[in-house]
Amino acid sequence: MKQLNLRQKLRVKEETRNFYNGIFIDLGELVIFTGNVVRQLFQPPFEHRELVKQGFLLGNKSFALVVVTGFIMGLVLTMQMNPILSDFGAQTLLPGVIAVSMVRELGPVITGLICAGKISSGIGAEIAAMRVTEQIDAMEVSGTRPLSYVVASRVMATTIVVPVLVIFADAFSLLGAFLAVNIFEDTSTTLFMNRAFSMLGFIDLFPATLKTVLFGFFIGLIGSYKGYTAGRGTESVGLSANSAVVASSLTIFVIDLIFVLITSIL
Amino acid sequence: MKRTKQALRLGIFVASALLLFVVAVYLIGSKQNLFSSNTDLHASFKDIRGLMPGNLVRFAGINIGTVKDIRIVADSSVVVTLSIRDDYTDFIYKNSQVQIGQEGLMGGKIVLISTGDPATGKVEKDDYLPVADGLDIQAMIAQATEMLEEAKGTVASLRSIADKMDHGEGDIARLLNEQSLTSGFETATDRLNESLADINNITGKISNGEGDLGKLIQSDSITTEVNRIMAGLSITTQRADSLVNELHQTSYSLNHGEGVLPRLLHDKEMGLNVDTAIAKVDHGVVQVTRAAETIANSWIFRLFSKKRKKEPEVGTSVQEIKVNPGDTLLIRHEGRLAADSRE
Repeated sequence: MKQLNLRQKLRVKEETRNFYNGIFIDLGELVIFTGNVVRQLFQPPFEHRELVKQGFLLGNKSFALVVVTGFIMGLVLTMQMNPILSDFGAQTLLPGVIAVSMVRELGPVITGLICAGKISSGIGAEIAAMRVTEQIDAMEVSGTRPLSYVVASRVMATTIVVPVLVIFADAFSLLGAFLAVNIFEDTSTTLFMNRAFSMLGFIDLFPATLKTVLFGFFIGLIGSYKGYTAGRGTESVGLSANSAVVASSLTIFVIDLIFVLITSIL
Repeated sequence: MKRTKQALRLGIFVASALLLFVVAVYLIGSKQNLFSSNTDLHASFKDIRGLMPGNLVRFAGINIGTVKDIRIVADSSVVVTLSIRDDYTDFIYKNSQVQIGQEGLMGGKIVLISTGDPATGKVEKDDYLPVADGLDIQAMIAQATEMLEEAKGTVASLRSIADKMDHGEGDIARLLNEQSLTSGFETATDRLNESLADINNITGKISNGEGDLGKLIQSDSITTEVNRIMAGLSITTQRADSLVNELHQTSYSLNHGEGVLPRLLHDKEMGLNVDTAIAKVDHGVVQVTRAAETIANSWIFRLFSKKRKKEPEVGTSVQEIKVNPGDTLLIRHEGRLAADSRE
């Protein structure tokens, strides 16, 4: 093994220190950024038009991807679980099991990850490009509040559209599950829905919905933060998009873990 | 225009999701009877076996409500509050029994309400329903465990028996393991067959009426004879009855009558008189005998009897014999007296 000289050792130590410091610096800056954005959300004038535009671009444009994913998830999950439940003679529980697993966990998390990949990276890249092309600087100079116009509108839009997308994903996953169940046995829509909702409770629905609101908020926030704090070089656009996806995905899992712990206590 | 179109599409998008959410809330809520008027009923259990609020209440196979509340009121009393939809309370009577059941082996707990007697009246709000013992999976498992233990013991015994049989211990093992028994059985079977053939031959002869036994079974003459004998026996029996009856009457007369014989049997004084009379007769006989001898030895009698003269002189001395009452005197024709003393 090659022995490092003293200078190299010092450099490695410095880089390591910078890495860990960077995490905490990033976290601190994110908290400050979040505070500023939240303040903008309650501070008029509100950017309604930008909110509608971003909602349409981030929500409607992701609809097809989310519902197709949800449909396939329901279909695949049902086909995978059917033999297992058949071994226990519990096929009648299949709609309920699929409904609970999709509404509680899989629907929000998978939709969140899709949004993290598509929306958060898009926001990060777009805002980073604006930073590179000095559009944000221009806004600040011209008196337009970039945090309100660019960031808050997007964060608000993702906070609204991600839960909406999750609801559609859940609905289409049940549709996929219904089709999959009908592959194995003839089941009427009424019976399927009765069985699906017989196992669902408000304890499944409301925490999951609240979770998706937080997913949406952090997807928009992290994407915006990564873009807003991008460097001046053109490579910063790609880096921002990439780090936005990674950070958003990780945040989604962390939030999910916290909610599972809370709902298990309830 | 473009922005308006975007806003419209976004609005439809969000509204659709909201509508789906509301439908989901309604469906879940209706399952939990949140959107219908309900009546609370109660039941007090000793053990609710894991029943939880939200579990279904079932009546006649229909889900009519949910478990609303569970609270423990004493160490052996858990009160379960059932929220029953008003549509169904008309069919539940005051003596309808409540029991805790299970939705299949893997399902959750449910509360089952049985049909009651209409005469007891319909349930009202906050009524307490009687409780019945429900199906307890734990008890079934315990019973099954006990049965398995017993089965285990039985299998061990069977294994022991099988081992013994395998090693040739005991008669059954010998039966299984040794050929001599089989050959012995074969011999015995052959002999049995022979015996059966003989028996068959005998029964054939009997059937054909051959021999005494065959005649006994096949011929009616014996039966007829027996019947005749039986008839004779019957007549004899009747006569014997009559005789016995007469004997009974005679014995009764002897015991209770007033004739000579009853008096002879029962009157001691008469008995003594008779004895005295007999003694006197005996004495008389002796006197007569002496008189007869005296006459025979008299010269007058000898005068007219030549024959007597030639006869040798036999001891003609008279011997006096002392007799007691009840003794029998035997007189020989030679003219000698002997006494046979008998008790």
